[in-house]
Amino acid sequence: MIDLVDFLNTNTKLEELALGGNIISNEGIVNLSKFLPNNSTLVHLEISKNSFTDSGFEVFAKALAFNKGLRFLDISRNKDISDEASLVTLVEALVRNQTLKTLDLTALKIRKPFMKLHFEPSLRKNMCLQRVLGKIPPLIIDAELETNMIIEKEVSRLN
Amino acid sequence: MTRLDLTNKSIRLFKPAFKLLKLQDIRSVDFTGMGVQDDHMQILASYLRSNPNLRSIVLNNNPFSDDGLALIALELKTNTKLAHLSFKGCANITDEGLK
Repeated sequence: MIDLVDFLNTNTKLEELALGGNIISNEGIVNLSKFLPNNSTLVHLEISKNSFTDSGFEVFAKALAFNKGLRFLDISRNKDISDEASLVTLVEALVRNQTLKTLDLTALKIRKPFMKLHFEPSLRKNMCLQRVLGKIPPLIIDAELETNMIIEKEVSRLN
Repeated sequence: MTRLDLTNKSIRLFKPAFKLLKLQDIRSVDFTGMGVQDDHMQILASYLRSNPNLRSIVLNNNPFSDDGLALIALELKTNTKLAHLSFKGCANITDEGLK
């Protein structure tokens, strides 16, 4: 994983990286998160179904705030991350991150209070996220996602 | 970006535009001919209440009435930033609205 991070820190060609269904541990995800502030060419990252837990993913989520490349992030089916710890950090990162457009949260345990207390308030300050995949409590963030879609498609380009 | 020009654009862009106004430092906005009604003026009024850095609002050729105008007039009493307001060619504004 260290070699991979070294590679990502300096690489300016790779656009997609799929690491789903592996056994990336907390140590692995913490190392992986180091490239996030330095790389702006990787646009698609899948880290679904791995072994890291909240404490490892929280470090990744914090670093995501400083990334300016990723447009698609798949963190689905990670059974050890929850909406009481690391997912709060993830949605808080969206206040600063203004590149991520699609987030796959399929099969993560996400409850309604999290959507209302954390996700929706963060999205009010984000103009980029447009799609959230997974069976999450609907409606709460739909208006913000749609607003972002309209801003990108029809408002931003007017200027 | 300091200016947002929505002249003759669809009214469904009206509400989303306020997210852009809030999150980016836009000083001037033009809503000419969008079909702005009184209920849309409510959105504008609540934005003005936060005393944003907005210096100029153009609302020319829109169908809002005296009631809509009254909503923003109320907020302008306490707004200290707005320097330019234009609502030329708004046929539903009467002398009553200018009292």
